[in-house]
Amino acid sequence: MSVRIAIDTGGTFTDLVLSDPDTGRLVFHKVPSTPADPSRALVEGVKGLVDRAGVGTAEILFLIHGTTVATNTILQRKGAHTAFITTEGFRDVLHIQRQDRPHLYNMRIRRTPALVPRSLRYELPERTLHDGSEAAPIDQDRLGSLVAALREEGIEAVGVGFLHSHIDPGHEQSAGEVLRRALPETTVCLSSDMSREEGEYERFSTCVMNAYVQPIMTNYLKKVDDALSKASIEAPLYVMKSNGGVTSARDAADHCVHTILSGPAGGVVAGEEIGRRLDRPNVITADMGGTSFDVAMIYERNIAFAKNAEIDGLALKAPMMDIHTIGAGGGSIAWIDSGGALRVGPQSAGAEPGPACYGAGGSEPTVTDANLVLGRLSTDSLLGGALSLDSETARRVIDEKIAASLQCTVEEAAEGIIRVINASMTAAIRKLTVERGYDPRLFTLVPFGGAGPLHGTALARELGIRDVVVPLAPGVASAEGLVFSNLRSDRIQTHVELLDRLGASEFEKMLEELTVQAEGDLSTSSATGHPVISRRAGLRYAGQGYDIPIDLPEGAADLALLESAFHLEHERQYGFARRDQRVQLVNLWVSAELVISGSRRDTAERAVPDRPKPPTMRPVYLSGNWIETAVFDRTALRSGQQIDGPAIIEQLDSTTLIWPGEHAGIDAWDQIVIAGLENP
Amino acid sequence: MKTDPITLELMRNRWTGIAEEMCAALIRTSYSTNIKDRRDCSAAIVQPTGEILAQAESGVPLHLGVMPGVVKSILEVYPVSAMKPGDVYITNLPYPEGPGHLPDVSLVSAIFYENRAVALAASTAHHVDMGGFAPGSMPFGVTEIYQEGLQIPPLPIFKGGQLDEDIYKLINQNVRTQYEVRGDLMAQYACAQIGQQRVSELMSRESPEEVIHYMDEIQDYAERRMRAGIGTLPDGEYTFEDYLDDDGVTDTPVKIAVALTVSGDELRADFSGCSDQVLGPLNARLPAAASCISYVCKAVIDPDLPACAGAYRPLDIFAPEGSILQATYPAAIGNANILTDQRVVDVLMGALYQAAPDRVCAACSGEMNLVNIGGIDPASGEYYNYVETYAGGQGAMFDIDGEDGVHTHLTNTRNAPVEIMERTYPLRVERYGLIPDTEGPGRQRGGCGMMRELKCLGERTIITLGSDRRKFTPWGLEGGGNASGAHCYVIDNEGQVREIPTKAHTELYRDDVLRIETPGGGGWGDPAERVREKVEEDVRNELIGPERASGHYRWGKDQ
Repeated sequence: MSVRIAIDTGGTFTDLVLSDPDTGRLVFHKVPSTPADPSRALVEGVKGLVDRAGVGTAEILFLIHGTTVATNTILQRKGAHTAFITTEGFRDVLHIQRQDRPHLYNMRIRRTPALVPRSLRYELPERTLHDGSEAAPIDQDRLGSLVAALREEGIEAVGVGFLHSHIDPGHEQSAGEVLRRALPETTVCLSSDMSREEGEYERFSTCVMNAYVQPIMTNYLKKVDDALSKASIEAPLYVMKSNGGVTSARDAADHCVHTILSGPAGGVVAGEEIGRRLDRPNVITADMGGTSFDVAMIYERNIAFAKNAEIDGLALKAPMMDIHTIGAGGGSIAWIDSGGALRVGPQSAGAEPGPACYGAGGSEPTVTDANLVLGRLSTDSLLGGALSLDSETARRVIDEKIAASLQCTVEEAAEGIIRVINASMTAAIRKLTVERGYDPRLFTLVPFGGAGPLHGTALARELGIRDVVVPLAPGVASAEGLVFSNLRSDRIQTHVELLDRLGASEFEKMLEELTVQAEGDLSTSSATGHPVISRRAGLRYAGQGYDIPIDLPEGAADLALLESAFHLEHERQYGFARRDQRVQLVNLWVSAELVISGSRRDTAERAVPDRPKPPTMRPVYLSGNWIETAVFDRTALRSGQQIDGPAIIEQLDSTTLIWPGEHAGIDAWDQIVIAGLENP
Repeated sequence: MKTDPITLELMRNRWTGIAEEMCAALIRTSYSTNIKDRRDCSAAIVQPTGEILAQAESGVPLHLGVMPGVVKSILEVYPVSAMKPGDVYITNLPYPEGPGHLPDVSLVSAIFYENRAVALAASTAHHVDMGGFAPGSMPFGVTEIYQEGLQIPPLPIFKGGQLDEDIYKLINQNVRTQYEVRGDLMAQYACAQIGQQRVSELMSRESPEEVIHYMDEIQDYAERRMRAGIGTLPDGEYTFEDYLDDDGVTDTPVKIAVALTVSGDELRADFSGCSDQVLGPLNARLPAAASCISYVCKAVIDPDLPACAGAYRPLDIFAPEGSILQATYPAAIGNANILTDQRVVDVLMGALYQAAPDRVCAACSGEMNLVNIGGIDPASGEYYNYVETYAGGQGAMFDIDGEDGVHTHLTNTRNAPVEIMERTYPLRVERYGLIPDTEGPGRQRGGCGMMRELKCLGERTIITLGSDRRKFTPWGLEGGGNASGAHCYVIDNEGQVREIPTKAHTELYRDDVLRIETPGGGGWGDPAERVREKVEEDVRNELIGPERASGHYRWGKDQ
């Protein structure tokens, strides 16, 4: 027997999942996080999990880790003492960014200061031009004095970013070599190793970010490794990346900016896995927690990637999934604005003091308070009743702060709060889909997080989505996704050229180079086998500023076919094509994916209760009426069982609401499938 | 029909969402750098009466006040009742009301549901060229709109979904960058199509009567928000004035003055004190001043104010006919957007300082530093045109420093990356960065200005520069000092440096270097009171030299 284990480190809890591919068994475990040293909770959690599952540490095949170390290092400015060396005349690129400001109207909001202050951004005479030719060689004397300055300053990490290094990285590489030789203890990070895309600010920013985090990440992963060894766990550790694939711990440290979405990526992979199980190629994942709502899209079995990513206002060029986040969650505060309209969020009561019903000093009405007042949450529905909710307080704050102004009943006010927050979440999903030319009606919605399944079908109906699938354990969906993930590497190269000036053989050669690089990235792991390669070309009409990715079929490249596929896709997204115009290649993208070992989850074989446990009943306020509603315990449901709405399904970390007229079924994977929803 | 505040909020979000989606489609399919990179465009949903219901702006707030005039000028010639599905109307004519200058091209079309025009879709986008005296169609050295470029009065440009090739041929012949202009018109058409689709979907999902009912409710709601915001300002009359250096033709300074009257929940802005219209292209029409007021209300009163007609009901804006903000045809108008309007905002801030000192900032760079470079690209033999506005310093507020090298107030367009510029144009960027010692000193300091050096690689390069604040530098408040002003230099291919006017139309030759310096932002409060650690940090970062630190900031001296 051999099992795989996933560990998802969150702010409050560290979630763990053990998967036994032979039996399809999943075991869940949760321990409090230890933010000062996240490796402690990780190792304690793993020990607890194997105990609970009754397996020995020797039976662990490997571990997969979703970590927030890179993200937190940046958000908390706890990185290494970092310097940056750039082309003479350009040290302020990191300061000016793209010269715009973060908010059009709020004059108080400032840009995020660069991770490296101006005094530690050094200039070096050297110059490469846009065609890769050398206009000026590196000034070696100056480089020598920079080495001395870095040593003097006690620099722990240095980024090197020169203009046009995405075309020819020669200067960066030779400067990097000098630095590594002279400063063997210092982390050296080249912008061309981080990204081969055009645009100096974004590439330099990525480079500096990686340099800043790399020593911290390296230390952390070493600590984890030592602690696992001490616990006699010798299985290899993989780390989740922002692209939805995992990589070796070593690669994760060297390219730590690739792990920025390591935490939330798991949830999206869970959605992808659910889509695969149910043969649903198009999935929208919606993670609703206490303060934020994260949505992502899987289209034609591929996770949608972000074009321009940033973290904390700093640009980041790394292959990463497109997770669109808005400030909407159970803690979002409802208020009446100066025009008399009901608004919800973006202010949140957070975890402390939390919603008014937590009884921890919160005095503002929140979404959770509204759900409680409407009977959709029960007073003992959080953490299996460990936290008791105070519905009297929830009623009172909604009455005083909302119902009184709107001159309506408390229930009407509470239902209004839910409708308004649902509208914000719907708008977020529309931004991700409709604005990019995707029709949400072709998707399945997978809601998770503590609050997602409570709002899931309402969002789906508003968007015209017909089917909703609630995962087995919505509160730990990210960890569940980790356990089913594969090794993956993405390589992207900017190459701007008119398609009709590009020979098929040149095109092939570039793809081949990228493929070799991507496969090389995977070879650092202990997994064997042949990776699955997928290739894409970013195209646009010459003169446009945004490219559309077009999948390349296997086999020899057919540029004419590629061009006509682009016209079609442009027409699909924007309603017109310009077939008389020349088409331009902008970039090539190759991804390599390798299954670590049998990671598919088969249908569960487990003991099921002979007879379904009968539901209890409670009144729930739905569309203006109190309706006597069946309340089910999720652990007592068995596959094949049908539940007609109205119904509530409660479990340890989440509550699912089935509206009147909706029909839910429990499938072979113990997921709740609510299919055939109709528009309002 | 009964109105409930919950449905009101839902409806408002839906309309905003549709306008945003229209604007996103326009940006993603456009060709002009101005639109695709710098997002100088906007899209709006308009009620059939001509009242803006929802507007999305991405890069610039300048279109906010202008859109009503655009729609009005089209509806006067082509009433909604005469519009058919697939018909789209165009105009770029600022007189009597319309877009702010000729490169801003607006398209308006009716949105139908069950054969009834339920709304209008409108968009404005800054096209790369509309012909005239110089590439980019915002020339200096001109005195009439005829010289600035092609004037397109309201005309049907698409009929039944087809581009009118006859009208298009006339446009095509008059613009330098035909390929882009056609592409951008198609992008604006795509924007209108998205509007039509989404509104149809909304109408068929909800009750059409309810949707229409709530259009008026949204206007009333926005009016209440604006009134509540104005109500937070103390009643009184607040005046302020500042000067533009010159009009680019004569040397006479141009006065911008306002008298703001707050009474209860209403606001009147009287620009009677401004200069008469001028010879150079700094003249504007009143809708531009309306944009400035709209912006300032959002910035000072409530950043979240809805962008719709109702919000502007409590505002009364006046400028006499024949004055710089209400110029008479055919006065040249091309650079009001980037110079005059930006200064109107500074002046409004100065006036509001007296009413709400903790909500305004000192003078920002006060202009947009337009750089327009065109000529024949030696590599391709084709005409190229590079246009960008350069950021400057932001004015300090009572408790925070201004940002360095950032776009302020009416513009928020992104820069052109060096790597893209050098690949696309026969230009080499030699330096790009902040200029030390250009901040307005203060307890809170203003932002530093910025410089860029560009080497021209073509044989003959035509330059248009549009900047200001060389003489009248950005002012500080409460004892804060003025920032440095704008300067432009040419370093010719023999190494000779000469300063050239900041408003200029000139030619450069192979290997000449153009150096642009932008103004900083004004300071706030006595610089001697600045926190010592902050002075030291600026000195360490070489943004403030030791001499300036010990002078203005009394650094290293007894306090």
